[in-house]
Amino acid sequence: MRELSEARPRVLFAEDEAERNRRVVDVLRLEGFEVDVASTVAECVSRLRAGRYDVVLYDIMMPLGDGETWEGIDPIDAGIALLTKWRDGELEGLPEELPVVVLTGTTRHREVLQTLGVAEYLEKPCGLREVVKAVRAAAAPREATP
Amino acid sequence: MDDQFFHGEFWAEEFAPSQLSQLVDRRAVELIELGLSQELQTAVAVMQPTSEGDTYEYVTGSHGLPHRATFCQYLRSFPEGERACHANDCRHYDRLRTLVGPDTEPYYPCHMYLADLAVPVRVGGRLVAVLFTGQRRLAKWEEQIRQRVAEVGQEVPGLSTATLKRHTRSIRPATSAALVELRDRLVDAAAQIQQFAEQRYNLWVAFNARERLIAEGTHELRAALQAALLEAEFLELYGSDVGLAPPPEIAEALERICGEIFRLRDRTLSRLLTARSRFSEAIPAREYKHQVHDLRLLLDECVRLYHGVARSRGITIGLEIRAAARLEFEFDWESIRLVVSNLLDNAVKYSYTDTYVKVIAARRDEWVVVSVENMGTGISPDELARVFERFYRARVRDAKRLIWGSGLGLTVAKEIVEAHGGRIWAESVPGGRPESAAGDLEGYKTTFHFTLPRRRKDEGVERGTPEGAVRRR
Repeated sequence: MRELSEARPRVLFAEDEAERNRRVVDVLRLEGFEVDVASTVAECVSRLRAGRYDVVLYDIMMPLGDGETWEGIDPIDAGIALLTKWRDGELEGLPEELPVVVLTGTTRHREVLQTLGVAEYLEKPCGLREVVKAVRAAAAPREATP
Repeated sequence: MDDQFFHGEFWAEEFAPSQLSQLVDRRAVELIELGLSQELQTAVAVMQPTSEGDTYEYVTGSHGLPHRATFCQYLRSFPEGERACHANDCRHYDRLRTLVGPDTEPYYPCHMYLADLAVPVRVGGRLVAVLFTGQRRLAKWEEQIRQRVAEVGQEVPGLSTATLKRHTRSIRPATSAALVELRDRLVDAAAQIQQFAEQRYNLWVAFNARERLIAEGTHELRAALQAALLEAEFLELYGSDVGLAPPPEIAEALERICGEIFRLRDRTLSRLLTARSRFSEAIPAREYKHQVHDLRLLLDECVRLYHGVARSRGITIGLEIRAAARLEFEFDWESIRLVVSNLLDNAVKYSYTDTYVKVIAARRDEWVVVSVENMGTGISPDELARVFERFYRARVRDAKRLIWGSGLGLTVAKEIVEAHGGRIWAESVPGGRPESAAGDLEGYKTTFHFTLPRRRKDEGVERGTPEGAVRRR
């Protein structure tokens, strides 16, 4: 069971082009979520270690960032690697269970994602209604508890 | 000329060593080699560098050279920048010769070990193949070889006299004038092969570039549409929350903009993605002449054609017809022959030595099923469907082995079979190696099946599905 955070559900929005997608952040805040943004995989990992989140809204096409290297992983396209390493328990200090809503501009990882058990899979272009609906549904277990 | 095709590091980035084998069309090389060897009455072999760099692998040649012969550090003795040289100057010559004396390979002397000439084929500065020729040094074993040829002739009644004669003649010692001529011809042949390789490389790069362009373009398009959609939808749906409530006309316009983007996504973008994965447009349209032929004759012809190549690799090809009557129906002879040749070519190429390749033709209701079965490296389950993709070449479990091919043969086969109203598919199951074979590689029985409707001129295509026809035994 996931532990419950404070009143407002917290979303980690992992997106390398955050400025271009700032309306997602605006809307999620208007919809009552607390939102943090991570623009690299490394930043995403450190935020997940440091804070408690209820949902991750995750763009697959993300750089590793922070001058890090992961063996055999293309540092420019490391988004999918984070999900597989997370699932396989290769990254210490990450929560064991956390709903991930994938928002992606490529269909390349469609099949892999099916095996990773993501909460929701959205392909760009994707409307705000769809994003809010998916994030809310993923966060539902937390919201259902008063 | 190289610069027109290759741009510095571009080459190194684009090509993994295993992809080099996609460059040269093997059949074209075989034809050049055959023409050259017949005209000059000498044997020619083509070797390809393996991924290890200093070993070479046999590709084709007028002698049945041992399959997968490796050839160590031969080219290291090549003077820098020289296109042709006397290979016998190689410092490894004596050591190599002891490895393949007439006693170890009596009928198939590895003539590249004993070659007088070797010509590298370079594409974009990279060595893609080496042509070897000349048997001057074989002269002293002429008597032994003649004897062995005669013996083999008795052992294998199917061996054609012409082939035997060619082998016998080719060991005639060459004079130095003939050697000079040989060298020049070999350089010409190398240039021809280089040309093929460059054309193929161009084609390969063009397809890759096109695919990449579409992939990148699609990604950019998605991102731009996403940004536009977010802005428009934000104003439309949340404008009033942030004090930016749009007047009714603008709200309506925003709604239309969002509608347009959603429509583009749901109709065009999804179609674009589907189109991207289709490859039939890459192959020029083929013209089919449907006439009544006996498929049995066609299979017989194809099997005969591959007997020689197969035998030189220790592989036996058998033909089995599981039908009482003749297999006469309407199809395009040339294209179906190409299908069978492509399947046989693959079967022989990917087989282990001392195995068999079986061609089976059977009637199933209104369909004819042709199966080509071999025992070898096999195809993994996730690759079974992909082998029909353009330029796709199955990973070879034994990584040291490079196999020559364009990666187009099965794509073409699929196109032809489907144009006939049939279906083509592959199966690969673990099947163990025959006892005689050495090594501990796991063997796989791989079978390619294709179906053709047994249609006559005065009839339409029969009802039913090819799959159904096979399962209904």
